[in-house]
Amino acid sequence: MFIQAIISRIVIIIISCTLLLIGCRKPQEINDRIENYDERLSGGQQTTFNETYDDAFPVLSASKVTTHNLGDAVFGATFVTSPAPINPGLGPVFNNVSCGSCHINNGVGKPPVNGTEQGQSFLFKLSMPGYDAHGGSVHVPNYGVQLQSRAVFGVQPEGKVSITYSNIQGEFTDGVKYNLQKPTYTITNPYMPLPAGVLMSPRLPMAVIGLGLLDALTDNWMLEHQDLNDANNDGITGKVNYVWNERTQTKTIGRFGWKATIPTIEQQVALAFNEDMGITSPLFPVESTYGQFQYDKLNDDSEINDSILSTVTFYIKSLAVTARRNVNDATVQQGKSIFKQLNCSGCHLMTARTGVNMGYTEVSNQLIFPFTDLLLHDMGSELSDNRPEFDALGSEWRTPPLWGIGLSQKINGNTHYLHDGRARSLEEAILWHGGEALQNKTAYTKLTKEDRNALIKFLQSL
Amino acid sequence: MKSIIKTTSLVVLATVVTFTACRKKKEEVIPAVTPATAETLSQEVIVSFASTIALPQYNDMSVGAINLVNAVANLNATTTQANLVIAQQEWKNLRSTWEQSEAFLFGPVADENLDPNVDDWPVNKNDFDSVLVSTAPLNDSTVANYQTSLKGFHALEYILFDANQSKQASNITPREKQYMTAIANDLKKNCTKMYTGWAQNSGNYYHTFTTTNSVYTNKLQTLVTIVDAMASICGEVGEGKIKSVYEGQDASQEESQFSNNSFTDFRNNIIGVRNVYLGVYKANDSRGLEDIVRQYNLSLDGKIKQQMETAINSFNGFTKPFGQAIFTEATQINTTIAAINALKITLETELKPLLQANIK
Repeated sequence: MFIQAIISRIVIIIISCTLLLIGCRKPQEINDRIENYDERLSGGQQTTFNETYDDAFPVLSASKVTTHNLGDAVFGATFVTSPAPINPGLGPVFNNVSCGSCHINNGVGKPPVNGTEQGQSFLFKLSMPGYDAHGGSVHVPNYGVQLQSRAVFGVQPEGKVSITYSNIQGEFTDGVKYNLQKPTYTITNPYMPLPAGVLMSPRLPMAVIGLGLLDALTDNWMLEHQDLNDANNDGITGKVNYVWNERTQTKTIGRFGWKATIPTIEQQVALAFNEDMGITSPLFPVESTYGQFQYDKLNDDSEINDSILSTVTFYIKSLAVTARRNVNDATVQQGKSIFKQLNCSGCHLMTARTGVNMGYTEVSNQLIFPFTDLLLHDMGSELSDNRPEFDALGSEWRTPPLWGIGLSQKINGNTHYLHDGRARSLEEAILWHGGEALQNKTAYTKLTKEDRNALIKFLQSL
Repeated sequence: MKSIIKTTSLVVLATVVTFTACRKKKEEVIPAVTPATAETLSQEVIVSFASTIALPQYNDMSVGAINLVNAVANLNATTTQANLVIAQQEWKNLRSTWEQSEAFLFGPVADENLDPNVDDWPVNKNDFDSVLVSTAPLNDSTVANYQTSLKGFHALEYILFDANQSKQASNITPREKQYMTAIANDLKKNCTKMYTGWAQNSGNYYHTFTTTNSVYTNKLQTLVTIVDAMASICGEVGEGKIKSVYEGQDASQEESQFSNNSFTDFRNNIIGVRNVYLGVYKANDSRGLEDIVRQYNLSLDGKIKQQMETAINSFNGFTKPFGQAIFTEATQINTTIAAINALKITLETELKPLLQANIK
């Protein structure tokens, strides 16, 4: 008994010393030797081995699990027209009735199937040319900054969108041909005349896993990878988007969304409530229709309170990343070397270490494999939406994280990639890369079929 | 002759059953399972799930929805109390099949977003009332484009049962008739999609599920998908549909509140879990997860079966509908929550690891 007590005390002292040392140590950057780590652990200690985007962080205190579950319930909850005893606040115009209806199984959305059917998990951002006082998008009169394609009963949806596709043919160096489908979008049935010169940008809802870990990457980490003038001559620049932060009321670094226009998860959640569902919150207390023809004029804002907003925010902050599969498969490993050789990893950074965070230790100092630098890159004219947002030009898009991408078909039953889901396969997504990624795409087309397959197999292992 | 054979086989069967029963108690040594046997058995369980559970059950969804459409059409044509009761019963019948199928909410029902289209909750009552008082066109195509909270089971439930289960056929308005007809048709369309999504001559998720491919990379993953879905519905019923309403003491959050059908819903969810575990649906008994578990751990098999029965039978103890029981039958509610949670924990912490340890 006595000896055991002494031993346990010694152990406690040793642990405490270790903690102290870790506490003092600066977060190590990419000196981390990847081969010393288990590559399957895409999200560090917050990796799930279940093939689902629904799991909470495996390491999470009991009280935080409770908060996560409360947020989960709200994320799945259907909102209805006010006043109502349960989940009021929907509309008057909206894109969907719950968070989970767009982020089905917490995964990606899908564009309308036959081009005319209205997608329920797909939306369009709108704006007039130029910048508002903060450098953001200029509201379209009577429309705002998003086309809400649905409405509560008795209110007009702002409009629908029709999509037509044209074929683009290409050829690999080995003679194999490929087809890409290029979308063209037209707003139909506008509820009010649209002013000339409206800019529109289609957006596919993104998977919501691992965002707490991306949030835990430091601003400095992003700035260190920024390479505005391509000083290292690799053809890749990388640019931080400075965006408006509603909480601080200043411009801070953006890291979420297809163009990195969102600085924090809280802002993303509150903005989605506001624009996608027509629900006001303490962070966005003004209806998306304010000043418009169909404004509800109800004195019921905010329609959700701080605790609802913060539980959903925490839910998103604590969704685990799926583990990689087949990491030791020879083809997968071959694909991984090709990924590096083609310098796909120049933007889709394979490793990163989160900052030390004593306020949220669950994400503190984790070696993760996000496959993103969270920076903006010129992706060429074919992918350009010609609609600037803060420092992001029309052709500039944020490198999307690739973790979990190999499971998207299992999670969502379909495969659609890029900001508007035009790529129907991982290969098509690669083939759409242009601008400063054109060199990488060209290199891909010069690969043998076997090497191309290996690269795809590697991506499928993520 | 036939009857003699029948009698004889019954006797033989009874003897075998008796022996089996005796044998089980002795916890005999389980013969080692070869990897090849495990592989074959896993495939049999997967195929059995697709062919004995998923396909027939979704077929029942599409057939049940047609019955509902017909009953609603009859009520529309001949609006009598008797026809209302028949329509209510068809609603409950389809509801029963649906709730059992919620034990496996993956595949087309999830991928094609059919779940919220048939079973969204709560009903958007403001908009629902607006629909009824307005003169806007009310037909299949307008309802198909409604918010999910204005169609499906619960919107139809609201029409057929009314807020306090007091619906009188004589009070059904012409506008309600149009609405119920369109909702029933929309339900039929979506229930049919559940079936065609799996059917081999159509969406063929059957093939996706029963073969190894980029979605289901190995048999373990396929089996784990099944177990995760079973555990998930246990969590949704125990933690969500029962516990949150009970702890909040808020009957307005009850799901099937218009029909007082919630306890039946919950019970059917767990019966659905049992069906999947046993590989049983209606009269058909095929391979189920039990056949794998019994190869490795008979006591776990016994435990799961006992926990499923306890959870299902726990609903027998209530004397009032759920919306009232949350105020007056706390002990029984807690017993039910605990029983469902115990089953969920066993599925997650014993059944799943057993598969992970033994199946590739």
